[in-house]
Amino acid sequence: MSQGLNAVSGLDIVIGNINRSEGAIASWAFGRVLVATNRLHKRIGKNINKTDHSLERLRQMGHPYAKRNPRNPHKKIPHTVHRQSGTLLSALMKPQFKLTKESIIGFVELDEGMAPHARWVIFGTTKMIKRDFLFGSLQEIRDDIIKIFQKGRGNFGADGEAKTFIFSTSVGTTTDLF
Amino acid sequence: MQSLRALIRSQAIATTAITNKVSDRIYPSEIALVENPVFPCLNFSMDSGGGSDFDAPKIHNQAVAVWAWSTISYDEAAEVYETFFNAFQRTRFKNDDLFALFAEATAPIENFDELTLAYNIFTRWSVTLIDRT
Repeated sequence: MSQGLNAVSGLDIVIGNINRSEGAIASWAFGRVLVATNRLHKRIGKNINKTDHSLERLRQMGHPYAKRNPRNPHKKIPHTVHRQSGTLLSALMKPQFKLTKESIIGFVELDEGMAPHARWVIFGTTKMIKRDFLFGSLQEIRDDIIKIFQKGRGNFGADGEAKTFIFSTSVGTTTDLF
Repeated sequence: MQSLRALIRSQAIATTAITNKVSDRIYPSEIALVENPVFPCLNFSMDSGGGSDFDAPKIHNQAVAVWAWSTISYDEAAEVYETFFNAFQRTRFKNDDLFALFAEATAPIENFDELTLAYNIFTRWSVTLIDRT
């Protein structure tokens, strides 16, 4: 009897190992999501609290984010937002998590009620260029997040045996904020 | 980026459903950078980030922000956006420099610009690029 070229042997063993270690895997995964989300929260907070240019200084620079003179002074991190009243930072909520049967999601959101102008900063207007600090911050630390998950090639013991699981991950971004 | 920008604009202009709605008003930049924009229109800009895998340097991912505008209603803005979506979603285009596969990455978000009283639909797209050079 011949076997197909794509026959996989031992698949039932792999599935059995995964099933026995399900709890440990979920716990490990949640830990990683926690670390990644906290890092994202910190980066967003940093990006919306810049104090290198005061409001007066921005005025002297000719309002660099406005249509009349659009010259973003932060070329490397174009989603930088300078602190004015601090409302935007106050509106940044603590990291949150959502667990379903198939997924663990960590996310960071803004309280739009506290900072209704956040929408204009993120998406831009006809008179002001956008500075999407949520998406931009995530992009900044995207490689770090992937490393956080790749670093954890976990050894999940089951019945006294050490087994190694190698995880692959993809980082997705959404702006489903409002 | 210039090549991708040109590709998006040329493909959009070549799509009758889009030009029926907005003519050639497909601005390849943020609307704030357009002198006297005319509505309804579409505009798009390249977002930061993306990149390529170390093992496959000729395959990149680029995020593109897309806005569809109307001064009449969200419904009209949505109709404009739908023409873009239908033309680009899961579609592969090419020019001399690259292949590009487009996919909508975020759900549409409605915004109202109080300064010009214009409605817009914002989405972010993920474009997978393969360098042909």
